[in-house]
Formats: sequence, C-alpha cells, structure tokens
Amino acid sequence: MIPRVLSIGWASCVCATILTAQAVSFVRDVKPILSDKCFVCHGPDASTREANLRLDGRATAARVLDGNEPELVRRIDATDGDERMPPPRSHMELTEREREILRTWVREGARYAKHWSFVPVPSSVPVPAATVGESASTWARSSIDHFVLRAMRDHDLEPSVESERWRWLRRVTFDLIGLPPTLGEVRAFEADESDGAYERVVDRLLASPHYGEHRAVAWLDVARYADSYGYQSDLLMPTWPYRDLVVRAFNDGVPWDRFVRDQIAGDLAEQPTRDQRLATAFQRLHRMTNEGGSIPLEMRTEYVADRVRTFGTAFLGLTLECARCHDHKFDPISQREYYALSGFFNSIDEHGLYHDSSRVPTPSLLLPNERQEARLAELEIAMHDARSKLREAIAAASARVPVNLTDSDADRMRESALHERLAGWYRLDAIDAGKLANEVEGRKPGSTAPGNRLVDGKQGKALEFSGDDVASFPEVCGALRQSEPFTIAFWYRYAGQRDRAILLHRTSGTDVGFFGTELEIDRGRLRFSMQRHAPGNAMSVVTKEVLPKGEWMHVAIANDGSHGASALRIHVGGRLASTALRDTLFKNPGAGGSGFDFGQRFRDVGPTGDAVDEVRAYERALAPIEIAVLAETFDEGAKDRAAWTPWFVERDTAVIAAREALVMAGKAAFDHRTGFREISVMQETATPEATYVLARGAYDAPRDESTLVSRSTPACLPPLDEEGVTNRASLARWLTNPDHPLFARVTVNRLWQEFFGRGLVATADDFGSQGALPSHPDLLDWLARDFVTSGYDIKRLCRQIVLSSTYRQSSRAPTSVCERDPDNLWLARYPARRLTAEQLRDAALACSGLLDRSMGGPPVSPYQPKGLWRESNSMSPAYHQSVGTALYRRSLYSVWKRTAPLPNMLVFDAAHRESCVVKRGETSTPLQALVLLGDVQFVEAARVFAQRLLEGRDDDEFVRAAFLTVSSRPPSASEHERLVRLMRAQHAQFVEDEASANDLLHVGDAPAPAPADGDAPRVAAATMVAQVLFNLDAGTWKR
Amino acid sequence: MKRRTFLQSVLASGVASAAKGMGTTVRASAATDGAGTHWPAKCKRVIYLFQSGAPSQIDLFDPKPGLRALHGKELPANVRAGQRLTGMSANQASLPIAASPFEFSQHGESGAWISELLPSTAKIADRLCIVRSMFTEAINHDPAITFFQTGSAIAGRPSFGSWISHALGTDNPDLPSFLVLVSAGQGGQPLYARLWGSGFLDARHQGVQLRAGASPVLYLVNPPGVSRRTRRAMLDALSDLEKEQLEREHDARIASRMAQYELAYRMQESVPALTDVTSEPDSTFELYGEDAHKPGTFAANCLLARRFAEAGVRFVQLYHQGWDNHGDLPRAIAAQAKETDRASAALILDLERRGLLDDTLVVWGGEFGRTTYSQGKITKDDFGRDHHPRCFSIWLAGGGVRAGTTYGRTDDYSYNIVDESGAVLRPTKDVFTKGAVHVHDLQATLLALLGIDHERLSVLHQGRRFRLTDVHGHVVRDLMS
Repeated sequence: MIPRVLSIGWASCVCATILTAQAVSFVRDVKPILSDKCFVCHGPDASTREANLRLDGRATAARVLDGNEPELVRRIDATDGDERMPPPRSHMELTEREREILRTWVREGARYAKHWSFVPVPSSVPVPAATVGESASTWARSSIDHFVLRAMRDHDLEPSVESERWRWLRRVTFDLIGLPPTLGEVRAFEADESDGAYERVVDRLLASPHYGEHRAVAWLDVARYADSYGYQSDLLMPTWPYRDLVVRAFNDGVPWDRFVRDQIAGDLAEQPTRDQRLATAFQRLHRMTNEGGSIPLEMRTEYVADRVRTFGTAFLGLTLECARCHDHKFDPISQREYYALSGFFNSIDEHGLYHDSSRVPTPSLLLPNERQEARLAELEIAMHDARSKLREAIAAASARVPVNLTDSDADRMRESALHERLAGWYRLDAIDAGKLANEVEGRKPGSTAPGNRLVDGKQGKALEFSGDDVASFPEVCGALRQSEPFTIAFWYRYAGQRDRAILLHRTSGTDVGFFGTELEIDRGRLRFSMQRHAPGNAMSVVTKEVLPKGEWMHVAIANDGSHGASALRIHVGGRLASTALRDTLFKNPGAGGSGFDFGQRFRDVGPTGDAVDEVRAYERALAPIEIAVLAETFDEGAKDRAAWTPWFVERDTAVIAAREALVMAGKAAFDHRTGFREISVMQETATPEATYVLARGAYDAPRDESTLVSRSTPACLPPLDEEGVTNRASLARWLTNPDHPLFARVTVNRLWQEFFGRGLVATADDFGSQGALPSHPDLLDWLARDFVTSGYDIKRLCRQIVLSSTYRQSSRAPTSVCERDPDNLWLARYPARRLTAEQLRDAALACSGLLDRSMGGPPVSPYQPKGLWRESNSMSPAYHQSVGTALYRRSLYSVWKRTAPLPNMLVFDAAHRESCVVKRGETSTPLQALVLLGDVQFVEAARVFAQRLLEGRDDDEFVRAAFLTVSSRPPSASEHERLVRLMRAQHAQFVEDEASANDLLHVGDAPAPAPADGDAPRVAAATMVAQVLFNLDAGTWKR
Repeated sequence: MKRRTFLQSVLASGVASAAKGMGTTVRASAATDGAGTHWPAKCKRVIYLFQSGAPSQIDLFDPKPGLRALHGKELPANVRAGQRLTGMSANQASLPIAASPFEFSQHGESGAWISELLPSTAKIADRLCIVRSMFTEAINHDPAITFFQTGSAIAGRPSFGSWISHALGTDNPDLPSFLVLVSAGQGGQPLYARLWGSGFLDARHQGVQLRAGASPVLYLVNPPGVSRRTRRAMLDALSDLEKEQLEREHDARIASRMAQYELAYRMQESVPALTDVTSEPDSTFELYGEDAHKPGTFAANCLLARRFAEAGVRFVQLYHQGWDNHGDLPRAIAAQAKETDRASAALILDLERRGLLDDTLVVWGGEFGRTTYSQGKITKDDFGRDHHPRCFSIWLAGGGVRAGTTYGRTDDYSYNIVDESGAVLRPTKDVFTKGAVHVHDLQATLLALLGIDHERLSVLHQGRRFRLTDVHGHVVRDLMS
C-alpha cells in the first residue's frame, strides 16, 4: 500500500502548481487517473470493454474528447447516476482535483503520450547545471547529487547536514556486506582524516566476500529461492548450488547483463559452462508439487506461468501475469501477447511433478565435485575399455562359430532356451487360493488378486486382467535393475480397451512419479523403460509395429546388462521389434522390491481385458534365437549363421567374462554417478513446444489452430529483431539490448531501493500504468544509461550511491522539512530503516563473536521452536537442528522451507519465497519484540557477547564497550548511567537467585562460563544489558 | 521545535498521528482502525471450524438412500458427464458406487437430515443452516484449501481472517485480532502458515497460531532464568534509553516500536490467562466432553475459541485434519466424527447460553467433497472416496444466519447440484445460479453478515484492486435470516 500512498502524496504536493503554472502532463497527471478509474471498462481488455470505448489511445477515445461539449467532461461532471462516470456501481469516484485535471487536459486538446517507461532511455542525460555555482552546490559530490539537489530545490527543500562518520560507516557496512562495522573498523575510520578515507572503506567492503553474500539476499527474493518445493508435503529441494553461484557472481563483479542472460538462457550459450547451465536454475525455482492425484499438465502450466511472471517482475517491472486470463486491464499487453511470450519458457522436457527429494526433476545438471569428477572419468574409461574388450571377445568367438548347425547344437539351443537360468515359469492354467504355480523347482509361486480371471489361453488357460488387479511374480530376476541381465517372455493377447496401460513393472513410487523398470502398452506399441525421473533421467525402447488386437502374440523383453538403451530389447513374435526411444538414464532408478508385477499399478491405468500366458522369467539375457524358440518361430532347417551366432558367442567363456566385466564396470559408474549432486535447470527441447492462448488461463482450455501462437515479445516494447527460430537466448539478447527501455531502469531502481528503502519508482515491481511515476525521472534515466555504458557494473553503481552526498546526509531533519516532505520523497534527509531479518540475526551473531563466516554449501538449520515442520504436516521431513558452528552461519545459509519458514525471520518481513518479490514489507509488531527478547538465538548471542566482553572489564567499561559494539557509537552519559544501573540491579537480583543466573547461562548450545569463575550472577546481569542493547533502536535501526 | 516539545508532542498526540508526519504510516496498535463496515453487521466475529481433508457429504449431511440398491454397481457415465477426476482414481477401470453405510434421520423442528455419525450436531439442527450445494474448482488439497482460505489458489494472498481483521480491526488491544488453532497430532493433509498469512495486508492482520503447551505463542515465555520482574526491569531500561533516542533522532517510529514492546509484555500475561482453562466450571467440561481437558484436541480448541470470542478476538480459525478418506472410510470417518461432533455442537450451545451466538458467526466445513464412487475396491467393510469439487456440504450458525434450514440439492448420486425440479445445474463462479453456492459466494455471504460489501473490501496492490472474492462472488440471501 505504501507505494500508492506515496504517489498520491507526491501528486498532492504538486497539484497546486499543476493547474495554474504549467500545462497538464498526460503521463504525470492524466494517465494515472484514466488507468486507475477508467481502464477497467475502457482500457486494453476487450472482454470487459463497455460501450466499445477505449480511452487508452487518442484515436479510439476521440469521440468523447472532441467537439464543443466533449462527452468525457459531461459524463464526469454528471450528477445523474446513469450518466455519471465512473458509474456508482464501480465503487470508483473521481475527486474534484482529478476532474479538474481531466477538464483542463481536454480543454488543452487532450494530447496523449507514450507511457514513460516504454520510451527508450536517452543515449545521454545531461546532469543539471542549475545547481552549479550556487552556494549549496559544493554539497554535490556526484552526478546523483545534482539531480537530487535540483529536485529538492524545486520543492523548496535544502539538503540535511552530513551525518557523523560513524553513522555513514554503519550504514555502508550494513548496506554492502550486511554486517555491522567492528569496533576496530569504527575507530580506524574515525581516526582516518586523510583524503580518500571514505573511498577506501567502500573499496574494502566491495572486495569483501561478504559483499556477495549480502547482495545475494535481495536477488534470492526475486528468484523465489528456497530449499523446499513449496506445495503440500513441501519436501526439501536441493537448490543451494544456485545460491552459491549468485554469491560468487556478485563477488566476482559479473556484469549484470551477462548474469541475466545466463539466468534466462545460459543453457543456450555456445558450449555453455557448468555455471551458465546452473544459472538457469533461476527458472526452475518455482514451487513444485508431489500431491497425489495432481495433473501434470495443469502443474506444468502453473510453472510456465510462474516463469513468465518472474521474468516480467524481475526484468521488465511489468505485471504480465494480469494478462494470463484476459487482456491486461491497464497496460497494453494482450492475452495473446502474454502467451506469445510464455512460448519462450515452455520448451523444456519436464514431467510437472516431483516424487521425492532424491529424484531431481529433469532436465537437470549433475554437479560432481572435483574428486567425483576425476573418479567418474576413470570409471567411464574403464567402462569404455570393458566395452572394447567385450567387442574383441565377441569377434574372436564369432570366428569359432560353426558354419553349419548340427542337430545336437539345435537341441542344446532348445534346451538352453527352455531351461538355462530359468527362474520362473508360470503356466497360468489354474489359480489355487490366489497362487499361480511356478514350474521351476525351489522358486516361489506367483499370485493374483481375485479380479483377474482365467480364460482360454495359448496353452491351456491364461490370465486375463481386470485393470484394477495385480498379479505378482516375486523373487525372480532381482529387481529388474539395469545391472541385472534378465528376460521375461510370455504370450500376450492385447485387447486395446485403454489408450495406454501399464503391463508389467518393477517400480516404486506413486502416480506423481514411478521409478524402476516397466513395460507399457501405448496405442498398441510396447515401451520398455528404466527410469529414475521421467522423462529426462530414463532410457526406453519402443516397438515400431502396432500389435493386433485379440490375437496371441509372443512377447519378450530382455536386458543384457550392458547399460544404455542398447541393452534393452523387445521381441514380438520371436523377432527383435524395438528401437531406442531415449537413452538418457544417468543415475540408478532405485526401485525396491524383487520380481515383477503384471496387470496393475497403484493409481495407474491397468490393461483391462488383456491376457498373458506361459510367463517365463530368466536371470540372463536370452539370445534372439532362443526367444524364437519360445515364440515357436525357430526354423531348424534355416541355414542362417548370423541368427545363431549370438547364441554360440554368448556361451564362450571369454565373452562371458568380458560381459560380466562390462556389467560391473557400468554398475560402478552408475553407482558413483548416483551420488552426485543434481539440480533442476533449463534445457531447450529440440523443437519448440507449441504454445496456445489458454482461455482464462486454464490448462485444459482448447488448444487448436485458432489459439496457436508463436513466440514474440509484446508490441508495446521494441521488436525482437531476429531471423529464424527464436528462443530464450534471443529473448535474453533482446532484454539486454543497451537501448531496452525497461531492463536498465528496473535494475538500477531496484538497487536504489536497496540503499534508500524506496525506489525512484516507488513500485519497483510495477513500471506500468498503475505503477508510481518516477520521483526523479532524469536521475533514473541517467543512472540507467550510466549503468549500461559502464558495462552493467553493479559494484560501480553501489560505489556511486554510497559515496554520494545524498547518501551521506543525516537522517535527522528539521520538523519543517519532515512536514513538507513527510514521505521523504525528495531525499532531503537519509531515510532511516530497520535492519532486515538477516541483518538483525547476523549482527547479533557478529557482535557476540559466534558468527561462523564460512561460505556456501548445503543449508544449515539454526534454532527454531521444536516441532514446527511436522506439527501440521505429517508428510514433512523432521527438522534436524544443526550442531556446533553451523548454528551460527549467516542467515543466508539457513534452510528455507516455504510452507514453514523460520519464524524469527518471517516476523521481520523476510520474503516467503513462494513467488518473486522485489520489495519486502516493513512492519512493526509485538511478535518482533518477543523474538528479540525470547528466541534462543538472540538470548544465547547476548549471553556469549556478555561473557566475551566482560573479560578484564569492570561494569562501566563493559557497558561502554558493549554499547559501542552494538550501535557503533559510544553511549551518552545518561545512557551509560542507565545501563550500569540496570546491570547493578540485575546483578544484585541474580546474586540472590543464582539458580536463575545459571539457567540463563545455559541457554543455547554455546558453552557456559566455567562454574569455577563463580561469577554467574554478573554474567547473567551483563546478559540482560546485552539483550537491552540488541533491542535498542540504536542497535536495530540504520540511521 | 525543541527536543522536549517533540518528545512531548509525540507522547501526547499519540503515536499514530505523530508518526504520520515522520514518513511511515504507523497505526496505533490499540485502535479499532479497520476499513469499517458498509452496512449494519449481523455479527461481529467469526469462528471457523475448518475440517481439513474434505469430509464426505454423502456420509454426513447429504443422504442418498437410493444408492443402497446400486452399491457396487458402475457409476453411470452420464452422471459424471466428463468431469475431470484426480490422478488417483482417473485410471481405475471401474468406478463402483459406494452407498453410505450410515443411517440418516431427521432432526429438530426443521427436520434436517443428519447422519448417525453426528448425534450432537443433530441435537442443534434447528440452529444450523446446512448448505448441501457448495462447489469449488480445485480438485487437489493444496490449491483447494488455499483457494478456500484466501480466495485464490495462488500462494501469497491475504487469508479470510486477515481480511476481516483488516476490515474490522480488533476489540481487544492486548490480543491479536486473528488467532489460529490446529488440532494436535492429527496427521492428514498438511497445513501451512500461508493459510493464515496476511499477504499484502499489514502484518498485524496475520493469523497468530496458538500452540498447545507452555508457549502458546512462539517466543512468548521468558528465557530460562529471566523472571517477569527482570523482563520488566529490562523494558524499563529500554524505554528510558529509547526516550532519549527519540529526542536525538526525532523519529516517532521509535515510540511506536516501544508501544509494541509493551503490547508484547501484556500478551505474555493475557494470552496464557486466556488459554488456561482451569478456571472453567465443571459444566463446561460436561458440555464439551473430557477431551477439552487435553490441550491440542479439537474439543479443547473449541473451548478456547469460545474464550477468545468472549475476549474480543475478531477471527478464530480452527483446523482439524484427517478427513481425507481415500480408503478405510467407514472406520476413519466415524473416528473423525467422534473427535469433532460433540465439541462443535457444544461450542454453539456454549456461545448461545453466554449470549454470544447472536453476534458470532460459526462455520463448519472442508475444502471440497468426496466422490459417490469408491476409490479402489469395495470390500465388505471397506471402501474409500476420492476428491469431489462439484458438490459438498457445510453448515453455518450464529448471527444473521437463517437457522433451521437446509439449502441446496444434489442429484440421486450426490454428484451434481440440481435445482428444485431435480434438473442438473452446471453452476460457474461467473454467474450466480440459485441453489448453488460457489466458494466466492460463501465468502461474499459471510462478509455480508459481517457488514461488509465484498465488492468494496478491496486493497490496491501492484496496480490492481484485490478482493477476497476476486471479481466473483454473490451474496446468497437465502442463507441469511
């Protein structure tokens, strides 16, 4: 709400002069009224347009603006409810001042102008010269100051005095590294009278690795970065490598245009580096669900919408999401344009749901460390060698294959086909108490649920599936892993009642994601897959021919254990029938259990009416000719040496050994790779996904020729001038074109907001019609142009801001100034602000000496009240509080669970991170007092702070040193006296109640002082003083 | 202005007005500062008994005796009429009808049909307005409950309670205006802070969750070794230092912050006093049942809700999980009913005998309904029901509610909403359909009872006026007395 109040406040400041001294400005005065009060019915959205009247353009509005008695004026002045505009039912009203502006505007010719933020940033912006030569011009140190000073003078304001050195040091230290200055830093700076003292401080801070940590926080709000998926069960999501990338990028001073191009399309760079691909995780940080029953397409539609919204808010400062269901009500963005833009973001091969934290949704990026990478290289070479050796062994063995097949060979072949390593043979001729007999001695029988029934089969009876009932065949073929060669052969009668059905599987998981090995039938084609997270982390082979319905066909699936889609085969009617569909399995699927199930899977479509007979399970890969034997297509008379060669070859001891070696080498590589960190990233599909205008934003809206759109950018912005197929890389180049009207403005505005609490455009997330106008338009443009020409250098921009006289002003100003500019729009004083959630906690830790300054890595779990994660969410993992120094890491590294965020952060307006946020709230609630006074984290910090500072200091000295450490200034005499008084009184009380003192000194995991010191009451009293200091305005606000 | 006078003026004029002049709008914590009502209110506060997971209407409020004859038979395709199903049952080869195994009978003068599972609720039938024709769009829990509680399935919008707090303010300066209680240890569908979040409204309107146990509000109790006297001494010192800081910095927000510290200090006493039920007479526990002695039970929370209502809390939100009966429904729903039935009715009777029911609005219900067909197989004593957004039942009671009525009808399968003649309605949120109540319609109606026009309760955020009811919602006069 604040932004709105501000823009109105500003308008009211200037209104007196608008109507008298200067012409009405369309952009500044008229457009905000039309937009807010009229556009809902007379704006860009055709679906809600009344009277076929559009007021957002001169031509379409002409009929109510022109003439002797323009209708617009008549209607806004009408008293009759039917005539009056806006109509009473809209609950909108024009103030007299607004009506006067509209009247004047119409009288002066009703001139329109392009919306200010769509006008290109000028190639150069002159710095105001008006202030030069005037007495106060010595105040201005930088170009920024000249702009600010002119605006002040325009409003009869003068700058405040320069603030004390310690205040500036405190501000700049918090603003650049997020921590308070140390005592030593305060003293050193106070003492440094030499030229360049300020600049040296800034250089020191910009070079600090903590700079990147602090700067990252605001970006992580924008990126809706969190450590959990968000919806429903809200499991943890392994995203932290992205967070560390952001910190690194800020510290390395990566030019912002490059940074952003990588966020949008790093994967599409030429030979992208790992970091470039990692940067695109930005677009996969949206919430994801694993709620049972969710519809993948519906969720994918939401994710794409989130990407578009984030792109709009973060880079364009536009509320694009308003155009998802209908044309934008206020800005010239049609629903069609919205979807045309969304077409850049939907072309990744993603499933839409996740299953659990260990199965990273694809497309994804593996993030091995150096050691893992080196080991993988070894294993891959070993696998390659094993493959070569197998090839050589096969070649050698092939030479020994007889030219003619003897009868005894044929018998042996038949014998092996029927019996060798046969683990299950289920004839399916009878169901005995639910059991399906296994003809293989010593092996378990199968079983079936009652719904499946016996029907006439290929041989005797067969088992027909209801679609809802399972038939299980346990303890054969291991768990159908890729390193476990197997063959499952059976007669199959396809009914074709369901479009797609699961026929056979050894998978775990639920409808949100199955993982393991499976055989599906999809419109008559068989698909044999092994997968960890479909579709990206999977391999599949598929048959080409459509199975006939109602006929008995012989089907066999085989895996030879050589890893990769080439290891998988489907035989139909005794002939190899499959080709590779996908070969991108890179981790172990990780299904549990053993054997396989036929006919049904939890919440999946079953093969209703399909039947199987004579199921045979082998714990080896049968040679094709053996499968022909089973399929009754083996022709003994045929003299096809090539057909029986594989059978002979696979019985060669050298081949057997070489194949075993390859299986093991592959397993070693997969096992190793399965341990790698992995993160979801963007990876463009080979051909762009078709994109449709979705009526009302609904995922199941009609998708046809009439709703089909092709990728493009909104017409109100410069065109995307590229030939051929455009993609996210084109979009990234378009966005970071030096003349883009929004990108640089939005960026510098957000950074300005970080330092001054409010952007030059107060609505940092809305540069559209309904957003606030820039308070200092020229300064915004100058900053934007300067930022672009300086190579998008964020550190340079920070430096310019913090060294400016504007930033150096005192926050105290005469009451007259405060009354004239209550919202401090004209910056005639420094805008004081409370520290952020992260800064408050980090400052307490820094003061106490507890702060662990190590950087990066997996999130840590600081103190929080017990039970919060699971008390209302039994599906959530439990919270495991960190131990040791990990309790004292910077807040940036604290685990962020979207549905149960850390309460001591949330209460100080930390963003929820459920969606893109560019500005946090600034609230004041009693819960904040409860946290700072009662949270273990802060009590412990106060205690350790007291313990540390008491050493070798008397009460007077302690209070002085503690005050100075927390607030960066010495206490006044009265402050000092008051705190010493508190300390002594508390000391006396704790002496009387030493048990309480001891209780207090054991708050938190940090060691309490040794009891031998015998001074528990004094430490406890000092802890109370420290707590007061941590709660002081002087300790919690930046002034 | 001299320092002395600045300080005095801040303290004398009240924090709010002085702070205004300082740059940020700071509202005094105590005042009833809401946007206000648009017409005379029928009730002043809300107790919302949210039954999370979605209770089965067919087994509680919407009897379909005719289904007994069809038990186990396939649901006719024309009943479903192509409606989408969740991924949990969409793939079933068979969708067999599951008749409710529970008996229904009529109760009170109104003759409301209520299941044998809810004997206590049946006794207060004449105080209830049962709505059988609720409908929603979402089909999964997370989007559905978020939609119900915030008016949008998109995370981050203000919750119902926050809107009410924003509109009507508080009657008790020592307590938050919006309190949340969750039954402990229920399992079931997750709940999360966003359901009681204040979104883009001021954080003061955020629901404050009270937890069973020693610290009903997070961080409320003093750290070990810190007595109330010590806390007071600290606050006194803090206050003295902040007065000096106020004079030094000329920023009234310092005074406003001090007021928050004092409120926190008062909450340390007022909240435990309110959650301590030991002073309740025996008759209370006779009414709510012995469970009300056990912190964290639904009964204990209902009792707390009454105490909060008495103390002037504007909105009390209860959640009871466990209604998501995809399987094992006959046993599970009986247990759920047992946990909630008596206390729900007791709350109504207790409010009534204290004269609070006239201006308190009580709502009982979940986020959607359940299917008439079984999810999974029907066995002799077991079946389950999947999610069903097309029709479900809730009840209302209290100020301004048309008590002793049952509103809305469903078809013979409790699958579709029908009109008086039995013709199937296909209501949407866009157009009001008499006989059907969309979630936004319910929200509009509840707001109307509170004296608020749902079309006028809006807040400008990111250039757009947001409402609890989005651009939808119609007040259902038939639910109002």
